[in-house]
Amino acid sequence: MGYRKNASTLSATEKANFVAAVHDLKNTTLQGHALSMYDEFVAEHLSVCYIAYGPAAGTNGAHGGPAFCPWHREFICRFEKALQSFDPSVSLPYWNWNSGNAPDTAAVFADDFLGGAGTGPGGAVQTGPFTVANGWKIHTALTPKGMGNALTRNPTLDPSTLPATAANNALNDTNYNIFQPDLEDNSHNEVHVWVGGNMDYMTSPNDPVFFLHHANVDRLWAVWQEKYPGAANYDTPTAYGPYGHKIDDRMWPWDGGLNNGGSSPGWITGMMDCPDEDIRPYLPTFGAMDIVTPRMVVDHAATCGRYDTDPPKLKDIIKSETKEIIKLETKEFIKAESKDFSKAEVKELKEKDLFDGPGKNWFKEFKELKEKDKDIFEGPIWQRPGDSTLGDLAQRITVIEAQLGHAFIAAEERPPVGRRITKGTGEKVE
Amino acid sequence: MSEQAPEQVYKGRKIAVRPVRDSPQLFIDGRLIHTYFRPDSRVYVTNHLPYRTHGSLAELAKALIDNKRV
Repeated sequence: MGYRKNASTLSATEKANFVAAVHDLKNTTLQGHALSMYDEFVAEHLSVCYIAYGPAAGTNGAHGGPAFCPWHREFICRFEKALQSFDPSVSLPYWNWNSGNAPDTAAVFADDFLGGAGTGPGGAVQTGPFTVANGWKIHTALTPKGMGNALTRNPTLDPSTLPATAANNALNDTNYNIFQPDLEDNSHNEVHVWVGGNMDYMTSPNDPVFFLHHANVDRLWAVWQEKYPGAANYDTPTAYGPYGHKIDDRMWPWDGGLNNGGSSPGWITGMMDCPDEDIRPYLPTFGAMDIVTPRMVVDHAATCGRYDTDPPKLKDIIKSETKEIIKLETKEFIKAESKDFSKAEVKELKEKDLFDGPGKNWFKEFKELKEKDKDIFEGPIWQRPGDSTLGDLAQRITVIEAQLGHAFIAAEERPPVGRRITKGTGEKVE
Repeated sequence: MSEQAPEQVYKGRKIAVRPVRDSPQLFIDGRLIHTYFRPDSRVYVTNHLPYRTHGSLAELAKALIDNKRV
């Protein structure tokens, strides 16, 4: 399982490894395939935008409906796994364009990562690892009409105009069918337009920033899901949901061949602005067992990697449970230690007139014991020799905190290390 | 221009919205432009200009022309 990080926090090595793996995908064409591994992702994204045949015929299988989030979740997950087939250490970073922090965006479009704005002819990117000079050429079949084979972007990439507020507002939508179009239309779309160039076409995965952008979109969905959990909130009867968008529909192209075998979805010549050729021969074949529905990817952590912004659920549970156990054990110990010496106890004994007979001896023994164990009342009880119970508790806390990497019990809640017990009452004081 | 308004010329391009099988369809210079209507948000979209939504087919047509997508 990968661990997806904010791109601006990547080390120089992590950035270099990611870029190298992307180039490996671009430069590797599997036997019997028409496109490189990278370009097949571009072709799939292009093709899903118009499914020609089958139950989803005439629809966009990945946009403008509930499947927008799950389809892209699966898509970037497969891309990440493809990267990891070259370098298992690589995870897909996310571009935190909604942070409001300019450095988050500057780091993505830096020359040591995805390169800069489109400063060349036609908006060609001329800096960084994804220039024509550095071997990054858009495949002719995946190039919008009138565009060359260079990666293109807008000439100005001003972080202050990114839709940060819109994205953060979407996180307050309480229903998926409000959240999804809000996220897609008002922030996701705007980011595509903001980058411009190739990112403003259905062949947008031609720009590697597509995957970092969609990792952030997916992360936002995960954040929203944390606020409003439950797969039942994915879909409602009022949703715009043609086949492929309902929670148990098979999403093309991972539909187990539902649309394959002569009825595969794909490009309709002349229907769109991309090449006047049928894209279908360029698509890879997907297996009959390769089936993905929205429900199958609702849990992002189970689908692919986790994000560095995910709440530490398991860690929190361990922390909470352990804390409660230790608090309880400490309380019980203190109670047991102080019980026999409390004034209330002595008073009770007196009231029961136990000074004659066995009670008399008991009280005498108590006074002797009190004198002997004076440090229980006046000294730091943790330092009593032979007191293994408290020592064990202290050791357990130390071990757990070392495993967690930080303290997890507040000072006032800690077992009474170095504290003293007031004389007579048994109550502890600082 | 409403969906059923007569043809109009915008920047030298002829825009027409005509009913086809009871559904309004967009034509630019006589060419049918494939569009989707999203009933939930009542917007039109097209794969020619995929990352934008439009309140009407005429508005969509003008955006396509402005962005040189047709």
